[in-house]
Amino acid sequence: MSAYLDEITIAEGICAITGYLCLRERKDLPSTLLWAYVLLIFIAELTAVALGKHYRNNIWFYNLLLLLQVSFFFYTFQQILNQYVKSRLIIIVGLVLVLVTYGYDLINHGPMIRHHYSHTVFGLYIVALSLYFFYLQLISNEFIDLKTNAIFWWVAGTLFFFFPLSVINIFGTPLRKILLNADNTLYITFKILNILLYTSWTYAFICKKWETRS
Amino acid sequence: MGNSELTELIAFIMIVFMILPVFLIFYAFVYQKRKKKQLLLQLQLKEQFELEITKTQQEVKEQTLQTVGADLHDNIGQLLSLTSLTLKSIQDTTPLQSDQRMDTAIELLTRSIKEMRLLGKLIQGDQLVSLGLIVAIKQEINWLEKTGAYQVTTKFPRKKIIADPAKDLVLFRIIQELLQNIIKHAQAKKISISLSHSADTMRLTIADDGIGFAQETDRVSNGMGLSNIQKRTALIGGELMIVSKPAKGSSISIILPYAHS
Repeated sequence: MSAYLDEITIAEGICAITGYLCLRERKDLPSTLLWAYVLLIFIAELTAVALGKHYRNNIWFYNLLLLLQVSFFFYTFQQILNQYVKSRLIIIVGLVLVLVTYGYDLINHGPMIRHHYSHTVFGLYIVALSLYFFYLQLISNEFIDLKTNAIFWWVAGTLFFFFPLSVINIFGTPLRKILLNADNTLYITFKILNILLYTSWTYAFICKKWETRS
Repeated sequence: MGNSELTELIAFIMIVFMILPVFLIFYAFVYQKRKKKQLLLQLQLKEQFELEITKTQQEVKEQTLQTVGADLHDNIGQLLSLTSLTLKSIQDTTPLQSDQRMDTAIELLTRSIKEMRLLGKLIQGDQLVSLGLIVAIKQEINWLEKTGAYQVTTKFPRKKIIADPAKDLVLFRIIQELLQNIIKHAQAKKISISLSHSADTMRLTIADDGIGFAQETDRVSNGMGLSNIQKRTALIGGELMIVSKPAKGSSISIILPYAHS
């Protein structure tokens, strides 16, 4: 089992367990999805590591996983943005953009090569949605105690992850051409981003628990 | 550029892109802190306003009771004393004189009852304001005219004004204070009160032909309470304008935002 665990899977595991412990009393779909998604990703990550070890190529699995990520993030952002604006159109536009690029990647490169364009478009759209959320939160008249605001920390973690990841997606390919150990450097960065994401989400789950208590 | 330099460059770029969201989140925190301060200030102002409204209600009631007390003493009290004297004098008179005095006593009692009814209306105090600002002002003028010491002219808008109870109450109290100032200090014979309403503003002007005052020196020191009036005007978002010169009377105007009729 230890062969399957690394910094990313450990962070995911802790986040999933914390999410379950903090949100198990909440029976609504968005709250359940929050921790269930992390749990699914945790299982998927372990599966991907196993696939990588046995079949060498697990990229098709990550390509498939992107569809789950897209569904989850767009659904959650719709729930979050709906507090301030009617976000259905924004979400549909994003969904269409990602699915079109996903189709393009699938037709042109097949399932065994990383769907670069759809990952990039998806990442950029999530960054835009996160920034839009912060903007809406700033202009609202309501005061929000950000220190303990679950949604804020969830979006902050998402932004921490997707903002630099989008840069890696855009500049990763040219960097690999000029840098011999680019993959290694980018992988370390990717690990740090994952840890940041799951730390922030773990804290968001704790905040959600505090909100339930109060 | 060497391999290690490139690695450093990439690391630097990555750090910069990681720091950007940190800055954003830091800004969100600072902004929320400012928002909290602003909301607290608004809450304080609201509390202050409500406190001032309660104080004003109390003052209107006190002023009304003072008027009622004075009227009971000066007017109804006199009428009833006169009635009592008239009735006492009946026993020593002829039947004809007795009838006449009885008629006089009845007339005096009828006047007393009438005055009592008017007092009853006035005693409602701030409730009077809820019937409309103009109704309340007219009632106030009614009592002023009864003294016979002043010639009061009024000018009110024909259209009905949409009531803003809080503003009406404060404005009514200001009017009471201004009229009290005229009675106590102005030695005036003529008083004019005008209320006009245009677009989203209301303008109230109270002028008199009294002794006036030098604005720069007398305004605060003479105990006319103009600073209090100024404070109250500001509280309802209004502006106070005073025009006065010694021996030339004075005119005080208040312009305040008010819903259009």
